[in-house]
Amino acid sequence: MDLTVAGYMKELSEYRIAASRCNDCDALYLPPRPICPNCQTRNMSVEQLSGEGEVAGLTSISIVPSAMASRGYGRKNPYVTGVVVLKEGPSLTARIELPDDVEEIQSRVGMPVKASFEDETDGDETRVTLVFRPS
Amino acid sequence: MPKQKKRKLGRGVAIVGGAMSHFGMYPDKTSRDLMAEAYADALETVDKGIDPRDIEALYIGNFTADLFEGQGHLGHIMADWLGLAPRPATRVEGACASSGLAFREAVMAVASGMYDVVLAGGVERMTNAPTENVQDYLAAASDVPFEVDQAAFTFPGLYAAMGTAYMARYGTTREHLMHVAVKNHQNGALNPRAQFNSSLRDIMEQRAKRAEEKGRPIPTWGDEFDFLSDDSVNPAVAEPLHLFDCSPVTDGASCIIVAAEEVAREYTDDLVTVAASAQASAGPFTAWGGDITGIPSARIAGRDAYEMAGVGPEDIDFAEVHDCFTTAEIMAIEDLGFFEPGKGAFGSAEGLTSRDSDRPINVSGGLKSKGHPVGATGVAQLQEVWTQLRGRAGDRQITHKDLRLGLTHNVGGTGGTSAIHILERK
Repeated sequence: MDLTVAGYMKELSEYRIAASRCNDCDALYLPPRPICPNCQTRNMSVEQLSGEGEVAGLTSISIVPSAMASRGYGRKNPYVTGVVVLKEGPSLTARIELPDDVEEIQSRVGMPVKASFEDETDGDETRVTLVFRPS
Repeated sequence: MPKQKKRKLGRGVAIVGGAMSHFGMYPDKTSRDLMAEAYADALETVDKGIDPRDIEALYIGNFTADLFEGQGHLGHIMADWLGLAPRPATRVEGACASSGLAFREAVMAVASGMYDVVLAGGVERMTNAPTENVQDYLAAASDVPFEVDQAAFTFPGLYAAMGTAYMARYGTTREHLMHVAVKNHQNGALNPRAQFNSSLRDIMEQRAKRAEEKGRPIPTWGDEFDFLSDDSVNPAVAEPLHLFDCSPVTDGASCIIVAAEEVAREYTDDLVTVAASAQASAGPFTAWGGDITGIPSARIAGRDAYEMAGVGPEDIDFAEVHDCFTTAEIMAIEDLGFFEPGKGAFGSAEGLTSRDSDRPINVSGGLKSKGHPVGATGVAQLQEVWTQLRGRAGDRQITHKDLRLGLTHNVGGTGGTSAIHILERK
């Protein structure tokens, strides 16, 4: 794959989470990147991650951006998103689906989650979005 | 983090003038109108007066007039409108840290010896855009393909996620956050240029009075905390952040005039100099190693600023910190070393950051109450610290202690950019 944003998104569209590993210092990066910030070399290889991890922080959003408003989210229908640390080490930002109404959202920090891949249609465009659910 | 050499300015730099426009909703004022107001008032603050022609260059902080007003290329617009063309004018962008960076560029331009007198400004016109668009425009300061397109984060959402991580780790609650809002509104009530020039108790009592006038049931809030716990007046924005946890959408501008220390006495005998100027960058959350309970770039810039000034957090008399959200103030006072990690929320609730404490935080009202025209905020913070150090802050002047060192903490995005300055009264 190309170590570009488009390269990562193409992997996602085929239901894979791709990371890059530095062949010199062994550090693992998500999203995949062409230059290692640790040793500044460009000797990267691509690895696929499991999609299993735990929630580092999350929020339920009521004042929504226009793209989410057009999908029916808003004050009466908030959605949850957050930061997930994957078991391989790197973290990512992604939507999270909780099973029920949660009074104190911070109680879900540390919750084990697993990635699923959702096809979302926006006009003529279909995009694959990562959504994490309790595992 | 590799060790860097100790940094210093090539020569001393002082602030000789500074002002902010009124912050608030000004639908009839564009960026240049706001900037002209701040500039005119800044000239008036120069003790011995200044010939505007002494100003040799301009650095203007602005996040995105491109989106808010459809106006790019802001530097020359300001140079022209302030009557300072053909002097070089450079727009500086670092999201909500834009004018912290503009000030830093101005300081370095003077320290280099290139210029003796330089203007650092900041401006944002925000309230004309519909709320939904404001969310989208501010989200442009995050990592768009990942945080926005994939994760549907909003800006409050990002600071909310940090908030839940913090609350879960340290066992704090929304009530700790409320203390920050109550304190900053109390401070803003003393600031005549603040957007919310009223305490939360005033706001609460106004609401109750309005309900009575309209013949609606009169709310029975016992105190500010009761008021803030009522979702009908303080609705959720992004849990745990509610409306009064968030800085407002604001129109405003700010302006500072810096001069080489060796010429500064032509303008004032009451010198405040730049003891430290530090800046750090970071990637988004995904580059933070899974810990989002504080802002790494603010810690690094803070450390560099203390090293440059040759002081520690214990030496700072007061600070203006980037409280774009209540969670942000709590993380700021920890990242700057004023409190141990996990103690900032409890310290805030105990009043250890209030205006009569040993180290007052955000006596201006902060972004929360003073308002947050994002590109204007950094210079507005510096202007407040400069004014306090010179004892000229009127009703909100800190009077219970001598002020020698004041710090400003200005954050762009969620810490993609941090700019920290320490000012010293000579």
